[in-house]
Amino acid sequence: MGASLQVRDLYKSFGEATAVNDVSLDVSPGQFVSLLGPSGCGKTTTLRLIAGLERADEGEIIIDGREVTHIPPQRRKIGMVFQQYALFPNLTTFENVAFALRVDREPKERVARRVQELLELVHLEEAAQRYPYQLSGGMQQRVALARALAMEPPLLLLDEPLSALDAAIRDELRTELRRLQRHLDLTVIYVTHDQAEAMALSDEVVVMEKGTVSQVGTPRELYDRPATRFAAGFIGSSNRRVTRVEFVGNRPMIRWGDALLPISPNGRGERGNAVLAAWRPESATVTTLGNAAPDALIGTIELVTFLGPITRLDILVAGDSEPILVDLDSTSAQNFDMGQGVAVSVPAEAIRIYA
Amino acid sequence: MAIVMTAEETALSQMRRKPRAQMGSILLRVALIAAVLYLALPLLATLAFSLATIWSRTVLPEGYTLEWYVAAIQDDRFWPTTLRTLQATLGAAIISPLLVVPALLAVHLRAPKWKPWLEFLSIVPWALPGVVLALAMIRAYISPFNVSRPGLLILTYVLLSLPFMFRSIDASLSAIDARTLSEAAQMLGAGWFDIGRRILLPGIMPGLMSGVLLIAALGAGEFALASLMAGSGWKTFPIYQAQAQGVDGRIASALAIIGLLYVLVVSLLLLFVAGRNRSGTGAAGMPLVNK
Repeated sequence: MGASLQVRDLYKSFGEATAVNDVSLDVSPGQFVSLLGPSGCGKTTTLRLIAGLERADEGEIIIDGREVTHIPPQRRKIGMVFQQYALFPNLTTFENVAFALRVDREPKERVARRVQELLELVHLEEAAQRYPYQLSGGMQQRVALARALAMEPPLLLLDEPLSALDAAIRDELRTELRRLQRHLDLTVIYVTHDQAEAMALSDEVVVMEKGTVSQVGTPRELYDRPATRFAAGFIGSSNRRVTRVEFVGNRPMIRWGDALLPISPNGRGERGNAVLAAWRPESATVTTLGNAAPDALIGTIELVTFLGPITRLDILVAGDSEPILVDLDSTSAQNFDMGQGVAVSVPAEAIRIYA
Repeated sequence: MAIVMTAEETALSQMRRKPRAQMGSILLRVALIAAVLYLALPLLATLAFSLATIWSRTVLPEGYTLEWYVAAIQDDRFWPTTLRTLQATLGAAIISPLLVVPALLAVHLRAPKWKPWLEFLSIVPWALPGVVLALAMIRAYISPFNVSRPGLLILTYVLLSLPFMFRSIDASLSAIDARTLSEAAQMLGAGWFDIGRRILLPGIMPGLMSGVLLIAALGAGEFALASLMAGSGWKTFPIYQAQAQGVDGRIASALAIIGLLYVLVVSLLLLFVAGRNRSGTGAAGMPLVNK
């Protein structure tokens, strides 16, 4: 059974630099939570604070109702997988996985049985007697995972575990990680800078920026309703412009190139204020100029990129500085070609406004 | 036709290339032989001299005998000086790692910015002339701390072994990424004792071994400091050797060969120990004799 984890008002600074600034998290048992953000956002420091490898300046960390803030990492019973695997080079796969059990003075037969189980779990039975340098990156990371699971920790921390691997192995291990987490009912905290990875794996994603939590939500929520400018820019692709809210009658609009786009009246924009407007490439529809809707953006197709099920159009809107991106399903995109003039309709409710 | 031409061309170019390749390999061989001769000739001459009955006007000795070895070993001074040398070596081999390993661990695990300073300090003893070093050691340790002469010699060996210990252990620690491995071990429930015993010690073993080997070589062959530090009160093997030189060069040669064999045995022993602690980082493949 996975552990619950509460992090309250955590602070950590290194000299002048504040790495973690008032971070709070609430993770239920069995949840897969990702800490997502660019490098330097404090996600790894937060993870290391939970692990006990760094000491918090302020705040508390509670695992399964027990306060562990000042308990050394050895006694927190947390599993951890490092970015560069951190396997012990002088020990074989078997001995690496057995490490925690041996430190814990488990009887020999139990160690052998448990290691065998774990190696089966990560499909590495045949590599038991090999040394880390004789294993591929993917295999090394599996050993690291098995090693971290040896003591059946209810909480598993993963620090960018897939970032050193190539794409195919990364996908394979990602699926396997999710399977293991479900199978063992583990609580997992997963640090990554790769938003696609966070979206694919997590029950909940914590977006971090400059040491603080920017937004917490399910992948769907983050994608559909990014709450901050930062989250809007970091997750998925979007068309973004710094612009102003104008009113035509009592309809709020934003300027986009030479055109005015209506926005939802319950949006946050106030008249004249500079705002950031963002909408997803797949939320717009494209028609020929003859069928243009009244509030459509008029532009010219600069580039057509076939991406399999979808096709991406780069469209330069009159008076705009750079092309907007529109994703269409590839069947309907067949009607459009480079150089063609088109009309792009963006539904008002698809446009998110950030003050 | 074209194919035939190509084959001919290939053959031609091979013939053209062959002499040059041969030249290269001949040059390489000459260089290798020259190096081996340069290193081995003095040793071979010493060996021959130590086994010679008379060797003055001939190219090779007139006859061979083990007489000088017997004389060297049967001398009253042989065992006491050998024992003292072993003591000094052992003392330095224990103290030097005790100084270097904790300092390097601290640097690797906690304060990397201190490393250049330690590195610089560890080299200072080699930059000083022997006499200055000896006087400095005497000044620093004898009057304030009343360290005995043998103790002083041990401390000097420690000092001289520092740069080598430092560099080889530092390289081992960097190769295994001591910091991350310690953290990984901590997360697996290991305390510092277990981390040291199971992870760090095997990791630094190759470096440690080469440091110890240097100390052994110093003890077996270093005369100037041994005589300045411990002097006549606590004669070590190299001092006995120097005294023998005054009596008969052939006995001194026999002693030199015995010292050499001793260093050889020590290095084989260390190689064996390091080999048993094999590590995947390639650190174990490090050459042990690096003096």
